[in-house]
Amino acid sequence: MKGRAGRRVKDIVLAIAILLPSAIIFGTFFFYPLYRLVYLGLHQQNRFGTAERYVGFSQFKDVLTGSNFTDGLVISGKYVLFTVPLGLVLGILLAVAANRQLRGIKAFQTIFASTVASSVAVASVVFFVLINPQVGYFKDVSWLSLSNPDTALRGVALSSVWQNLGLTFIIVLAGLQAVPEEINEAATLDGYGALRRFFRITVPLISPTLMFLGVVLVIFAFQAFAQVDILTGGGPAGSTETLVFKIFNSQQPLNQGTGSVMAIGLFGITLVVSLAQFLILERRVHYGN
Amino acid sequence: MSEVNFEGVTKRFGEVTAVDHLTLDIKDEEFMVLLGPSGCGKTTALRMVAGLEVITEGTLSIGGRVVNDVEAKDRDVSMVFQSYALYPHMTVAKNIESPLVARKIHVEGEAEPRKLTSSERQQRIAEAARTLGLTDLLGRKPAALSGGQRQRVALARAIVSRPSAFLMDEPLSNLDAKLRAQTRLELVELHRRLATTFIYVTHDQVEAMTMATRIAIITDGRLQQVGAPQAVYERPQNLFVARFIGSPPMNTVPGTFVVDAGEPHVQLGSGRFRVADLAGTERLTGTASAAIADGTKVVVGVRPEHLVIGDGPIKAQVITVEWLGHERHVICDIDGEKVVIRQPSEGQPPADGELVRLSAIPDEVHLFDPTTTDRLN
Repeated sequence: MKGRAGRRVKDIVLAIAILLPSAIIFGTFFFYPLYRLVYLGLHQQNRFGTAERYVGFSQFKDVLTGSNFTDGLVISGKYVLFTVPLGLVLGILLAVAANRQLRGIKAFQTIFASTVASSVAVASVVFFVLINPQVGYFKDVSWLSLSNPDTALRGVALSSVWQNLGLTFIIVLAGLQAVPEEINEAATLDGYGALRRFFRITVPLISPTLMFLGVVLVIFAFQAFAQVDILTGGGPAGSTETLVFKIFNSQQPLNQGTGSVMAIGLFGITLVVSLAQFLILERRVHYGN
Repeated sequence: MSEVNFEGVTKRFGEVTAVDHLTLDIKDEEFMVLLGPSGCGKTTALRMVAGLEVITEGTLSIGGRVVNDVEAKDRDVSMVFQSYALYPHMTVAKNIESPLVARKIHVEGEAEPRKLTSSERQQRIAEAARTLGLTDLLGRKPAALSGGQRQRVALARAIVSRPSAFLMDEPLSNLDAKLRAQTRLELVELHRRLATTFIYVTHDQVEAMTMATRIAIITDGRLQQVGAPQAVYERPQNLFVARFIGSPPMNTVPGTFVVDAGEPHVQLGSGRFRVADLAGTERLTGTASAAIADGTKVVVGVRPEHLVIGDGPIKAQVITVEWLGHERHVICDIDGEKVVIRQPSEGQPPADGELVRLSAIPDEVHLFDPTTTDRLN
């Protein structure tokens, strides 16, 4: 009896020791900030951060229904619509093109994948060289112009599409290479042309990959910040102020309450959208063996 | 109508020659097995018939029509892949239907192939499912099927378009032994029912021997011999075929051909024994074998069942006896060469280390040239 109890204690101690590092990291960088967010959301501070008072969930209601949040949500929503479908389609096209047994194809695969190695900030600065309204190479392309409030968001979105191409390409390529070659050959013998084979055979078989990418790209798009900060600073006329950008700008003590509420709101929306994607797409995704 | 003819067909992948000037005529309605060790080029040859590999040199014809540049879907052939290659996201019914959807199909009584109507397709699916016992499984997806069932779906998908030729790439290799034996019988039965050309690739000589009308033995991309299973077993044309067909394999031992008192003999170690009249074998095959000179070094081939322990002229020492239940294998040493003898399991087996005397049935001694490995007698 004593031996068994002693072993149990040892197991528990070992379990705690193994879980402790992760728990500390999660606690410090996720759970504590989450707790702080909720706390800040329930309070209002003065300009200097020297005093605060409890306001409760009325702040939540005010901020989430206010125009600042809904504007940011609309802009973020548009951003998602601009970046995700285009990014997916381009990534798939590139992956299909590069999934061949041709000489030198590895060089192209490396080039297409290369954007995955750069950070958002670096990639945005590089992209800025192209579409800077004063001296950029494409400064005269009107439907992307960063100085026009109606088109600026598209310009920023395009930089995101380009940046995410590397990741999308690699993941789709991996998915394509996991499709057994014999299935493609069987489809060829069955008379399926290249296009029919792609839509009837390839796409269903890479659907788990596509669904994963869809969810990830949507989450990335909702989190867009650095691109906005570097390319437009939120302008012109606030037309590129995504939600995260607005949250970033609410760091003064006076605005920390509203900022926190917006952050929680964004979290909730991202969660809901991701769940919706899962529920809608899950039925159409085929997990083969 | 559905013969397949290879004329000097060669396939090269860069520096590597996978199939080397293959010339082979596969007759209409025959069950031709391409047999050989892994990597010998048999699968490549099959894929060239399917249209999945481009032919480097030579001419391939199906049904009298040269098909080198004809696309796979227009060749009127079906293929069963080693891994079955079923579409995992489609039901069994949709899998079986798939060749009928995009291909133009030859319909009986009509000159030109055409697309089938929906009801014609449904009819053929039902028929194929009935033939292969899949009627109750039509709504399932491949993941919900056993290995044997998946294989039958692959077969159903192949037969539904009623092609000129069925191509099969080691279809039994993923099945367990019992299922394999059962499926062998079913495939032979299917061949009989469909009365269509089957081209079947395998490395398993038991499959080849039990199923084929003719076997084509291939190694290193080159055809070694083609013939009915019996002919290939009884008269292998070279050492490779002699050693590949038969289990346990034929004993091959170096020896010398000698003419003793005007009669052909072979000297094996210290023993000398009579072999069949070369003229006698000429009677059997109808071709004259070139006379072998006295004193020629040969490789002697005798099958384990054609060696007899008794009071023959060959001295050997027993190494060990393997008992298999229905028979035993006596493994002996003849002057450093290992030899296997098959015996029924009755009676007392020879003891390990015992000195025995062997004789060989004269008509069943095969002589091969040690350098060219070709058959001499």
